[in-house]
Amino acid sequence: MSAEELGPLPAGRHGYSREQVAHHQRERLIAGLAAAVAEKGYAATTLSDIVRHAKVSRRVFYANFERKEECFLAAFEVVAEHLRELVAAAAGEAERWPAQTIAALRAALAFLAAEPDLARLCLLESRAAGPAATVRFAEAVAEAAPPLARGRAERPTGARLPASTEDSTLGSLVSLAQRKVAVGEAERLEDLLPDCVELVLLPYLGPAEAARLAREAA
Amino acid sequence: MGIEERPALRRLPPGSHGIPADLVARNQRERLVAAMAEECAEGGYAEATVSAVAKRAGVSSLTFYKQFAGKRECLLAAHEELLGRLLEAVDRGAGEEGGAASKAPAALRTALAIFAADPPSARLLTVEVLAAGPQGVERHDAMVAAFAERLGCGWVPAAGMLALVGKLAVAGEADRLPGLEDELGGTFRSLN
Repeated sequence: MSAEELGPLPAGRHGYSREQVAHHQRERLIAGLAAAVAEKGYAATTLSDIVRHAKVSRRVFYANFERKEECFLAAFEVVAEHLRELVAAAAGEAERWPAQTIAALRAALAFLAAEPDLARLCLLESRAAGPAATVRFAEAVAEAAPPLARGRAERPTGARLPASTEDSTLGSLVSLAQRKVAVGEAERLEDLLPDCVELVLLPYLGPAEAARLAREAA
Repeated sequence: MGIEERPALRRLPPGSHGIPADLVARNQRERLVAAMAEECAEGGYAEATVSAVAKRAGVSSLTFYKQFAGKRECLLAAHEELLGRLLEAVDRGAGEEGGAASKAPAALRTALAIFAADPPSARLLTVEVLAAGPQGVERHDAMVAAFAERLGCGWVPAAGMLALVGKLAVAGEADRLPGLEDELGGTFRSLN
């Protein structure tokens, strides 16, 4: 990923051209941070690395961000927003809840697999980027809980599922994905789709139906 | 019930107290582990510094570096030691008798009680360790596997349970964990 690109955003998807985007210093800095973090990890990334990748001055950095952590949070936000849009668009194509959920999972895994550096930024580096990032990460994951909880309407027993069902399901999902990223296989995140489909649908649809849909999704 | 055995972690009086050097070193290491957990619980791993951890443990930075190559090594070692103590307690709580299935409820109850009693350690074990990068994830996953075995469930529900522990520990609501025992136990049964 070069600093000329707006890191996470594949050209054409976000509604404005790469040229327009590159002129925005803030966005260059965000892309610069993403590039630097991909190169040496968040902890080792310095301000000099960020501005070098972004091809802007330190003064420009401080005009936009107070510190490295704030720049990281902005980068995280850009990726989270993009994922949010992709997932919503994918889910919107399907009619019923199980198909919507599978489409959302497929879209998220496909994006992260296509952008392994960003997958690492979101799933691993965000855990090392300070308390605000820890909180943001948890909030971003929790955003998926309400759409997931709609699965409770799929079964008569759904309403009796424990209140923590969505939290544990999402926690498992994150653990599976971060494990893949940690062993350097972010590019192969899509391999996880059947497992993810099964674990996410299981509480709502029961084991047999979850396993059937997981096989179908493979 | 805490993982940190706090009373045993008090600072040794300075000077020639006649305590063998290896015992002093072990005590210092335990205090550093406890201090690392407390420091992370306050501002997260990223904000924790070697000097702050050493100060909290009541030792010098030099002593810190005698025990650990750096902050990351301290975090990973803290995870290993805290997990070791936690699993010992869980195994004690689960008792000697019976197979994994009959031990699981007591194992879960013990684990939740310890997490609730020691939120900084719960948070280091489930959340902060991930700040150590791939090695941290590896340690986290080893913990998931250890719990899956003891709770008689698969990897996925064990990971979900620990994620929930982390979420509540970060939110300052670890005291709610023991109340979730039935709910979590039910989840494992329905997922198996």
